[in-house]
Amino acid sequence: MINISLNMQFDSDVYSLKAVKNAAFDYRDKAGFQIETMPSGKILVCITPKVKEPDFIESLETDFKNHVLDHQVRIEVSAEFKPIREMIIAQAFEPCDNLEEIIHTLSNE
Amino acid sequence: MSRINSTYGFLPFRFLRQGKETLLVNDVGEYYFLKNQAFDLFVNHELETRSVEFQDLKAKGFVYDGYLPQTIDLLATKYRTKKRFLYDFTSLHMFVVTRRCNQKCAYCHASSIQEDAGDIHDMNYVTARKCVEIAFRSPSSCIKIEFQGGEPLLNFNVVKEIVEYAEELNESANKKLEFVICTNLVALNEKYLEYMESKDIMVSTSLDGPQHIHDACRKLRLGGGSYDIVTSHLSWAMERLGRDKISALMTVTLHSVGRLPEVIDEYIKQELGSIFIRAMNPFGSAFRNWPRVGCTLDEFLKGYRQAFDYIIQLNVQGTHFPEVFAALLLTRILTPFSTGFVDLQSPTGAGISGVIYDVNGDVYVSDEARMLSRTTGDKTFCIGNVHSDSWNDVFCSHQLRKIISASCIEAMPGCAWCVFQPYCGADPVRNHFAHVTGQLSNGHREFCHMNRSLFNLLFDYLSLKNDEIEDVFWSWITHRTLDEIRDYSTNIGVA
Repeated sequence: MINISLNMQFDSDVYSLKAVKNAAFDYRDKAGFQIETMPSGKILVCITPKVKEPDFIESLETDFKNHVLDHQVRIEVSAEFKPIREMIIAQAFEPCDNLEEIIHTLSNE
Repeated sequence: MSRINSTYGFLPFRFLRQGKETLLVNDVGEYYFLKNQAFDLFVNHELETRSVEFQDLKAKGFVYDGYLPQTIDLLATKYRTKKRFLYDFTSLHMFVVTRRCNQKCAYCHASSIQEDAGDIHDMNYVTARKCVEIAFRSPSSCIKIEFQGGEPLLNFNVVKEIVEYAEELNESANKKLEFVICTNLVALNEKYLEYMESKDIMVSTSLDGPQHIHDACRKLRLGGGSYDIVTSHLSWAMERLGRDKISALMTVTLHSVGRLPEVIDEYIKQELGSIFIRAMNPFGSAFRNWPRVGCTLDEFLKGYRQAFDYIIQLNVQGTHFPEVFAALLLTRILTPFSTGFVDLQSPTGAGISGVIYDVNGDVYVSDEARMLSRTTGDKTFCIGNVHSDSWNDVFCSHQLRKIISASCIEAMPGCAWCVFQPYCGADPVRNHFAHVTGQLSNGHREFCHMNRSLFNLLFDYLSLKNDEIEDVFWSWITHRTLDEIRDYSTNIGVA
């Protein structure tokens, strides 16, 4: 059996390890993943596709890169709304009177 | 992606790229399709705040540019409304009044046994009353008692005992009380019908389609298919109880998966007002007979899509005929209301929305949990027994808390960032079953693949922004005819 694997590198100044791991989790049906952080700061991803067809491998490579990018976007936008999400859920089940004060404190943090 | 100098901030949402558009869904279930280019501007804080897209996103709660506390209060109210099912703890109480059955269906997930197996396989009066007492300890203001089996008509005296004792207890409890009997209708007689009519008992039955499809799997124990007697009793029950008191579901097998439009035609011929198209449950006889009658998930999904397209056509042409599961998902997508559905909610409805009492008084978190126990002897999801445990022992147990806390999809990898998460849920029993039987690849992944595919199908339709189709969806959700919905839409348009 031919053992084909793809190596990809992601710059950790641009992409977080979490974005790469989340993308790999979503693609676990299509490939096996080994993820390492390198001394250079790069994130190394070794991908073993489950289907060995060239077209499949080519689209896997492109789609996975875009998927990592989307996960990076998710992480960045959710960092912005995370405190708001927690406030909405808290307010839904145990409403507080000093919401304005809490928001003010959180936005200064 | 910088917030500096931005005039707006994000509210919690998830997204999924779908071709040239990106689907956004927020935590309270509002959705919006944004062109990819506009989405990129949006997440970079560069979307023009006077644009239609921005104003839509603001109205739907994806973004804020003003006073935040009011926005949080509004979204909190919507979030609480969406999770309203948590307050109905526990409203659905299923009673297995007998394990005996007069049918021997190839895909029976309940592992029913022969009709003359003796009354040790029936729930007795003492157990039945204990179960009713536990059910009435539930803080929920609504109690729905559902009779299951085996075939519940084979132990109808205990059905009557449960109905009457529940009514007696309800004189002081004053809850909204409903009864549903899940029956194959074979043993229906005049006496039973009269009683069901007098107590306003609803009927849920099974019809797999026209005779050649129905009889392929739904056999009488005495031999032969059950189509003739079932359809004859179905008409009789409809005449006596009213069509609105009877619903039916069908189980998709190898015999029906490519012929679902024929099944739908049969439902319309039988004057049934809706259909619930469900996949086979991998328990009991279904587990053993899967190679003979089961179909793959991809075959099911292909068949479902074909059936759904056909149902939409029929509805657009004026036949009001919802697919029940799609209608439930659409209620989640299009309305702010809570729709508890034991098999698809987060946290799981197992135990907190529905519970099932076996003939010996064992309490299971769901019907599948009971089937798991019958199929494999695994009692992981048995949370007590009405003879030895109090309501507190059963419903406040560490075991139930553990099941519930492990089923919040908000905290699960994959689900946490899935765009469909606000509409979806978990099925811990099915997952557990997949693990104990070694079907690791068929557990959460199949569950996820199925639900994602159904959500994709519905959003494919919604992305068309077609008034006719949206009117059909609203007619399903509001239980109104298409003409009523069209009149309403026209009047709103005029106003």
